[in-house]
This record gives sequence, structure tokens and C-alpha cells, in this order.
Amino acid sequence: MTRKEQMLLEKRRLAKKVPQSQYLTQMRDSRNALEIEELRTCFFTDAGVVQASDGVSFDVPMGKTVAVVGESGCGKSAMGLSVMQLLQRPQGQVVGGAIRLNLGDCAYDIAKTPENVMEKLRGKAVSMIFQEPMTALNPVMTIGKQLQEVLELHEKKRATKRHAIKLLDMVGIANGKGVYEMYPHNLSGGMRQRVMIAMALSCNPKLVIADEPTTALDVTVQAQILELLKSLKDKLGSAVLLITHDLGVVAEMADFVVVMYAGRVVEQGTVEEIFYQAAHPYTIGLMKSKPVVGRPVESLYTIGGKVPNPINMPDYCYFRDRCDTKTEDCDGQYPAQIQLSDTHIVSCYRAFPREDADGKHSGS
Amino acid sequence: MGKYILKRLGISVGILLVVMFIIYALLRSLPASYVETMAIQLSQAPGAKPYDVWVTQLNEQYGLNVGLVQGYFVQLKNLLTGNFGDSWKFAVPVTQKFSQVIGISFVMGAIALVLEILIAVPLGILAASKQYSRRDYAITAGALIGISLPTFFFATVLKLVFSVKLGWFDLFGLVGRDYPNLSPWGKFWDMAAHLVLPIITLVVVSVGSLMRHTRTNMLEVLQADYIRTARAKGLRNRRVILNHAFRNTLIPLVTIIGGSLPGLFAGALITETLFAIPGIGYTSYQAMVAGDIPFSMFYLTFLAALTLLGNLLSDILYAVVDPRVRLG
Repeated sequence: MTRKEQMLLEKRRLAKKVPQSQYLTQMRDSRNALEIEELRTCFFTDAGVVQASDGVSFDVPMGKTVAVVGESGCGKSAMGLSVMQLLQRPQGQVVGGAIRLNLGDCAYDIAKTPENVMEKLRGKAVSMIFQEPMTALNPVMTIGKQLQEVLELHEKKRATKRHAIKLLDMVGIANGKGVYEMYPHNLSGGMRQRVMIAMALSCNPKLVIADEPTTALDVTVQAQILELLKSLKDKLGSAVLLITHDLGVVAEMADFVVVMYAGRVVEQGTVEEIFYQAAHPYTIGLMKSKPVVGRPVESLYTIGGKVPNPINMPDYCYFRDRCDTKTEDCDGQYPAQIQLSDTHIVSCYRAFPREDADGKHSGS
Repeated sequence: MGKYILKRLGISVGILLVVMFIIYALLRSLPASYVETMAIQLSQAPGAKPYDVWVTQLNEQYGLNVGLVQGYFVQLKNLLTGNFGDSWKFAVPVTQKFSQVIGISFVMGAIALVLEILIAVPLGILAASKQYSRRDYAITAGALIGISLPTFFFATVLKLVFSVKLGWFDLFGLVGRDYPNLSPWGKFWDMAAHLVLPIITLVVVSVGSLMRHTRTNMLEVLQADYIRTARAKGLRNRRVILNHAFRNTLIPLVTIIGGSLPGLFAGALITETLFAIPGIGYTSYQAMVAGDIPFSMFYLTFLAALTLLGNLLSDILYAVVDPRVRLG
């Protein structure tokens, strides 16, 4: 991948007249709101090309919440931004794979959708809640104006003040009339995040991407915001792609969980499967490292070692050098995905069916 | 707000008094003493009194026989009572000379500043909105050339091309040869034509830095989270830049522009001299060289007051563009 290819991708993205056949597509399963298939997202940096998402595949069923978990820098935010086509351009580019977004009557392949069509989808069909409510709102614009902007853009009518205040009511802001006139710096972090949620849900999107929506908030406010998100999601029937590293939030919110490590999906399944039958050593490590109320410990469990350098990833399991349970098989190429149940998929040699007699490695 | 402005004005007056003392002390210590030059001239006349006697007499006459502090208070008292004195060099009241020359400098400076803002801000935004594109490189390189060009060199090149080779404008001066015979409109156009080259010089050498400031600020703003939020709403790039980014860029620009307001009255020494335009820059230079204390004192005090006022103004403008800033 060279700079030239990056410019080519950028040019294609900014092309004005692209026939619909280029980006309209069919969903594999019409009950899914979003299907991500073999998504590859790259950042072209001066030091080299970073594969932020490397063959990520998973589905988000309609009306369900899918949580993407993983440590910082594992590519979960880059994946979320890819779905919105909001990567830091021109360095960040989706270079391959498909992101199919279901709009009911038609489906868009976002990986191929040009910028001018994408503008119409953003905020309407798919919207995003960001991590930092402190900086995610424009400091020199009133809350009302920022809210009304989305409505005017997508609802094709003159959005009124009443409409905006109704949205503020919906997210549980009592003094809607007052807040309408306020600037972001007049509000607390939790209030701002409520405004962000109101903005994201104002056009009844099919899919909401919440990128660590509660990380910057204190614990009591976190619970309120999660509760709000959950109830509004059910009310509007939107699917939620929740990006987080907080397993407590996952347990609270998610129907399905996708575990990412170094740009790849290492394990995915229903929330029960991930929490009670985790199969990948990384997932097991994550579960072990979370504190449990009522179980006194000296220090919490940590996964030793660090993530390999994202430039020039090796072709073996990325977790090999940190793994407690590695075998000689692990020196082979990156493990393929194994289906453990209808929903449970893992990429680990330990999950491979063994033929030899003593092959059953008893892990954890 | 009102209370804040009053407080700031009070502080400004205090600063101004100190600045005035420094100005007075510096002027008194200048090696170019008007009195000594005059004493030499007078003592050389046939049958005149000797130099020492003249110096003493003139010192007394011009109020220089007292110490620094006492002299300062005498000056201060004169200034406060509105008595600015007569210019030694030009032998007319200071204010009269000042009002004669300030107009042209102000007009030149104001036109140059307006042009500068009109050129620099849009270009800076254009450059930033497509970083590392060909457009960006062209604009940045242009700005750098403007910054690097010395005034005297660029003015000379302009004169060579437009006055000598093409003959479009006069080489120097504020008015042409036939000025007195022209109709009022003709006079206006004559003067305007003479100001074209000086203003181009002023704009080209100063536009670069404002442009680079705008570009840097804009780039910083475009990285902000709220810009990503605006894009996530589905706003077009154009609206993101004009509605969301631009107002945030204004905040630092206001400081820069507010700070350059006193410059309107400072004149442009080199440009005015090169084009032989009798503005305040050129005049104050002459006064300073001659050791003309009343004129220099008045001019420098005036600039100091304007600088303080400019700072106050940009602080107030801050509150206008940025709702987070509350004065008080």
C-alpha cells in the first residue's frame, strides 16, 4: 500500500457522479441492520501502514445491541468510524471488505458509498455518539441550534424550536426551554451526553454507534445514561453498536459481544457465551481482570506483555506471545475461525478439534 | 461588563503613566540632542556667544535644566492640561503637525489592513480545508514569500516594474505634477493612483503572517471533536467549515487583528520613506533623529495609549465571539 493507492482511494471517495449500482447491495440476512464482512481499514502513516481493522466480520441484528470490546488501540473505534466513513482522512481509509447497512427498502455498501451520498445517510440512517461529551459539542453554538441543525438537514421541513425542545424532553432534560438557549459550557458532562444522544436519535436512525458513551462520566451518571440509551433504543427500534472496554457496561447493555484484539475479531458470541463460556485466552484474561464485588484480592489479574507493533503484523496468532496456554500449534499461521455454536465463533488453535489421543488441552 | 471595562481602563491609565516615564527618560538620554545641535549652530555665527553659554541658555529655555523626574512631571502636567507644546523641529504646535500627517498614514494603513484580512482569512481557510493538497502548498509558499520579502526590496521591484518599465504609476510622491489644476475627482484619483504601489507593498509583506495564523488555527479547529460531530450529523464539508469551524477560528484571530489596530496610526516608516509619502512614520522618524522631545513624546504616548486600548478591545471582542469567556 503506497501513498499513490491512498490518493486513489481518496479520489474514489470524493467522486461526484457514481452510479447507484456501485454502492447499492443486498443484505445477506434481511433481519440484520448492519453486516460487516472482511472489513479492512488502514491508516497510512509516515512510519508505515497500520491495519486498524484486519478482516473484521460480524452482524448487528435489527433492534439488538452488539458490544465491541477490546483494549485501547485494538481498532474498535476505527471500526466504528469506518461505518460512519468518518475516519481521519486522507490518512485513514477503508481499503477492503463490505459494510452493508440495511435501510429496509434498500441496502448500502458503505465501504463503496461516495462522500456525497454518505452525507445523506449520516445522522439519518446511522448516527454516532462520541466518547467525550466535553468536546464533542461546538462550544460557540447554542444547544438548540446544534439540535435543530440535524432536523433541518434530514427531516426536510422547517424544524421548530418546539421540536428541538421535545427531543430534549425525550432524553430526560427537565428544563428543555432553558437548555435550548444554553451553550455547551453551561451544562454538566451527563447533560451534554444526553444532548448528544438526543442529536444522534433525532432522525430515528436504523443504527446508532455509541463509541464509549460513558467512559468520561462518573459512575452514577453512567448508569443513567445507559438506562436512557437502552429505553430509547427499544422505543425507536434502532440497533446499537456499542464500543466499550467496560465489561460492566457490556453485561448491562449487550445482546451480542465481539471481542477485538490488534485489529482482528478473536471471539464473538452472545453475551452469555462470552461471559460464561469464553473460549479465547484473551477473552478469558479480560474476564479474569475485572474486579468482582465481594471477592477480596491483593491485586487484579493482568495480561502480561504488550500488543505487537501494528506496522508489519506477523502471520501468526497476534496473542501468541502473551498467551498463558500456547501450544506448538500456535507457531503456525493466524488461526482460522471456528464455529462453536450458531452464534459463538472463536479464532484460536485451542478450539480446533483434535485428532490425537492426548490432544485435549485442558485450559482454564 | 461595565465594571470590568472601568477596571481595565484604570489599570491601563496606570500602565500608561509608567510607559510615559520610560519614554521621557529615553528621549532625554538620546545622543541626538536638539539643544546641542542648535547651540553649535548659534555659536558659529559671527560675534555670537560661546557654545557653553548657548547650551545653558537653551536648556533653560526648553525646560531641560531640571532632573528626569521633575521634567517628567512638568511634561505630564502639560499633557494633562491639553498643552502638548510646539514641535522643536517643525516649529509648529505638535497637534497641528500630527494632524497634518496622520490622515494619509491612517488611510494607507486602514486600506492595507482591510485588504490583508480580506485576502489572508479566506486563503488561510482554503489552505487548511485541504491540508497538503496542491492548493495548500501554493498558498503556504506564497505566504512564506510574502513574509520573507524585505519591504525595501519589494517596493523597489514594484517601482522598477510598474513605474519604470510599464510607466503606470509615478515613481514616488503623494500627488502628481498637475495636482493643483485637477478637478476634485481628478485630485482624488490622482492621490489614489499614487497610493497603489505603497499599499501593495504593505499588504504583500504583511499578509503572509495573518494567513499562516489563520491556516494553523483552522487546522487545529478542524481536528476538534465537535467538527467530527458536525460531520456525523451529515453536514456537507462546506457547511462544517463555514458554520462550525469558522467561528471557532475567529477567537485567536481577533487577538491578532485587535493587536494590529495601533499599527494603523504608527505609519509605515520604510514604505513611506521609499515612496516619499509625508505620513506619520516618516515624520516621527525625522523628529526622533532631530531629538524633538515634544513631538516624539506626544507620538509615542499616543501609540502606547492605542496599544492599551487595542488590548482592551480584543479582550472585549473575545467575549463577543466566544460565549465561554465571561468578563468580570
